[in-house]
Amino acid sequence: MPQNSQGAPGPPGPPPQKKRFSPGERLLFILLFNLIVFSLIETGLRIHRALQKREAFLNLKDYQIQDPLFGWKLKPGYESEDVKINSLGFRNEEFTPAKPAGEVRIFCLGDSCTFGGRDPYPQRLGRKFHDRGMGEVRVINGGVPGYPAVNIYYRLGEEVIPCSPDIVTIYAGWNDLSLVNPERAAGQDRTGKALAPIYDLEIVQALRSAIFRHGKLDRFSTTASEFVERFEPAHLERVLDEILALCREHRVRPYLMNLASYYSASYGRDECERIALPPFVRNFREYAMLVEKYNRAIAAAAKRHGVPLIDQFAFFNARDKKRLFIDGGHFSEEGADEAADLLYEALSKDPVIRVKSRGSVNSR
Amino acid sequence: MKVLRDLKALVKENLLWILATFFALLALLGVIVFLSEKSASAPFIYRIF
Repeated sequence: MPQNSQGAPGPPGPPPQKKRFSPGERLLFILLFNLIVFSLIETGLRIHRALQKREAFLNLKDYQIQDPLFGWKLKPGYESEDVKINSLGFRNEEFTPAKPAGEVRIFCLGDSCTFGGRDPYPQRLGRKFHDRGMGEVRVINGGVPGYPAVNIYYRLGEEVIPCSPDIVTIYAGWNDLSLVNPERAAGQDRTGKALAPIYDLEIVQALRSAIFRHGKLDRFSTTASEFVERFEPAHLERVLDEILALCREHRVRPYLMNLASYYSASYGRDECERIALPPFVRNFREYAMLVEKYNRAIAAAAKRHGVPLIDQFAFFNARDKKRLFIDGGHFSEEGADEAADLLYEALSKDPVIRVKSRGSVNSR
Repeated sequence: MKVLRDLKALVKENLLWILATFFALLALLGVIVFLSEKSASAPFIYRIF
């Protein structure tokens, strides 16, 4: 406090000069401040997303366990009313890795479509062989829900080849279709690569879902994104190449199955209700295009390796699909039976089965 | 401490502008996302740059 010469308090001096900022400084400050606020929101959203993902990963079904190689796998020895997992981790009756003499082993590899519902198609296929006097043919369900093709490749090498398969059927692609966003795949080249992080910002994604959360996009629009039009599922072809090379190396006869899809262009809103579109797919036109592209990739891999293709897509398109699917790709019980019929038709003509069956008939 | 005091004063003085800019940026981003998604021809990122 200012004092006069006698030491007594004097009148207050002028208040300290308040700092004045130029308009440029103020603008810079406002922008910087907003940048910090946006960064904080982005960080918060990222933490939230990470926690959500962690929870989803930890919320495995009762019959699944975490696995360092596969992410998750079937829990050996699990048993419930509907699902029984054997000690080797297959949804199947017990069997030994060493194959008994005379047995023909067929593994049906795939995802949840193969893992199935109450009575999956591999189990039905096994019974069909048995009922037609080919009891030496053992069909093993090698499906694991959620597996994309690359997991099926690892499973083939790690868990199936050691069990001496004669034939494997491979039904892969649905999870690849749901996981690979054509826009991001396109973003891997040119300017997109540099700009992708902005597109991936949680704030942008949050705005997207806030705006379109309630399906305001017209799911029946016939316009497809240029990224979907240009997209080719090269990743699936590469993995199928690896799978087929592994089969050749171990003298296993592979059969590729293409995607059996419930969707039909003639279906209206009610019929399409049961289809869950992947989050990046805007309408059924894009969805149908992707299914077609994945099926072309599967057919191309089959042709390249001279491997039989089981055309489920055409087979189911010629039938009343409303009874045969419970959603966009999973079979109903009736659908699983039809799929098993189709497989039986193809596999019963396989030379390995014909030779062994003839052998067993002769020896009886 | 002086820096903090200055900063506080600056925020107070410009609070209206800060809020206006924040919501304007958010709205702009929202409009871009909406228009580009609605067009279903390209994601917004390719339309901005």
